[in-house]
Amino acid sequence: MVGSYDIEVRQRRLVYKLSIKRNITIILGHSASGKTKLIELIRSYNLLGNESGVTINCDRPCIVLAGKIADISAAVHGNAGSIFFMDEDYTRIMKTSEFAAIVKNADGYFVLVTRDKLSSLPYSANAIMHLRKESRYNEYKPKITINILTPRYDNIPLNDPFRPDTLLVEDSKSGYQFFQKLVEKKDCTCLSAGGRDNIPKFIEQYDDKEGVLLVIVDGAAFGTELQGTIKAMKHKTRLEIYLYMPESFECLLLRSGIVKCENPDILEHTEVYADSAEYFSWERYFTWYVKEMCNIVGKVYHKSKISQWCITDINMRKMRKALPPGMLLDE
Amino acid sequence: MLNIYLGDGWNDREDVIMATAVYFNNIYEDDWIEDPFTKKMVLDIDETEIVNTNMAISPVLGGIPITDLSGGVKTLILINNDPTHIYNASQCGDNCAKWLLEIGRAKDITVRLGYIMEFDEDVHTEGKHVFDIRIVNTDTVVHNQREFEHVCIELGV
Repeated sequence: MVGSYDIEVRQRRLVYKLSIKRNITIILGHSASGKTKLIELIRSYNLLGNESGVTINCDRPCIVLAGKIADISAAVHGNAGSIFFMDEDYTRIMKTSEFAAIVKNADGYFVLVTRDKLSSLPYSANAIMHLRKESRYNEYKPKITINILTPRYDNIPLNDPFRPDTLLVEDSKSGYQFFQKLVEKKDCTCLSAGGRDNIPKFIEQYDDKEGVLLVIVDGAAFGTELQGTIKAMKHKTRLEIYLYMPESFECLLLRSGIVKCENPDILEHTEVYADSAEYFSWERYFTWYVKEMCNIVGKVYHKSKISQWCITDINMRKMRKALPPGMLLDE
Repeated sequence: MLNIYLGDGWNDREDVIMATAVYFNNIYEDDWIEDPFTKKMVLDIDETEIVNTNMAISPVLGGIPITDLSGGVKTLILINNDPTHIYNASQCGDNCAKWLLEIGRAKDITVRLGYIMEFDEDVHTEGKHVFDIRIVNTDTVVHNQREFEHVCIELGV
């Protein structure tokens, strides 16, 4: 499934407004913020339609998943093109590899209510949401509460200038090798965390000395580690830390023009192109796209090892231009 | 004392209840609802007033059955009243944290937790004694949010 979908779920006293554009969206937040009620309203509508007193406005069917893993699998496969919702009572199932396999191949989007880290699922840092409440009063009618799905963590703009003396990259493959080359002539050390799971612990154990640390991660699949990373960053009182979360390294290759992007719209409206049935995350979509673009011009892109054509001086300049304006990685 | 098992290692134990909200709906006792401590928690977290053992008044939904209380408050009620199970405290949001601490000050409780709950907003409390939480995984006692978060990060929560 591709696309962005606005969902409005309404009953007499409650309105929910959601906008979903990725295959996995996580809803967390305070208790009593209305998460379970949202699921209940959709379930009522699933069972009774308009007779439930609930109305749902959405271009796709909204379906609540429940039961055992086989029931969930059958419901997902039998309702291609739907938006599937699961409440936190099913967290045990959400954490299984079987559930991850269902999501991976699904022609549909998943909205999961849970505060637990779902390590088997590659969800985006931007797909972690909570419900923000607004109330409307009317003298003659009951108060209406409007719950709007809102990002839980604000993206920190990296516009104010800073000059990192250490660069931490989540993987040890092409992205790390590229950034190592990018800063090799500067007074900046490039380190690999050896996997995104290690980022929070790496920062936590990092010496809290005066300095500037820039952490670059693939935002498209960093949702699992975001809470731990933000907490670890707050623990460092002397070290200045910046977190940069492009969708992926391959997305940066396209954005910078190092790899020519035939359709720049894929960078602005990825949801229109990255089919959930084919790509577990946008990171995988961008990897596929970079390989395709390279094939056209007779180049080869390896995720495991950066190619020499990629790390020329011209390409280093292109990347510096594409990075946020505050990030001073001058030649 | 509040004892916390962090992460997924206990998820398959028979005495661990992960689906706390559904479990509560089917086993809760009237005494638990009539308890003034329960009423205080419900008023604070759900902003809902318990009228009797069958009904509460929510500012959003009007009159509701007890089974429509939030998952977080249901979990706290279970933790406070049923010591025979280990409940999944991930069903409790950060706004439940002070109540978990308060229950833990009154009795020994053990819960399972799968995220970094915010027991105290101030993370720069190194050395300060704000609370006592025993981390079951490491058999250590943490005394402030900074120490708690450190253990969570080290354990990969």
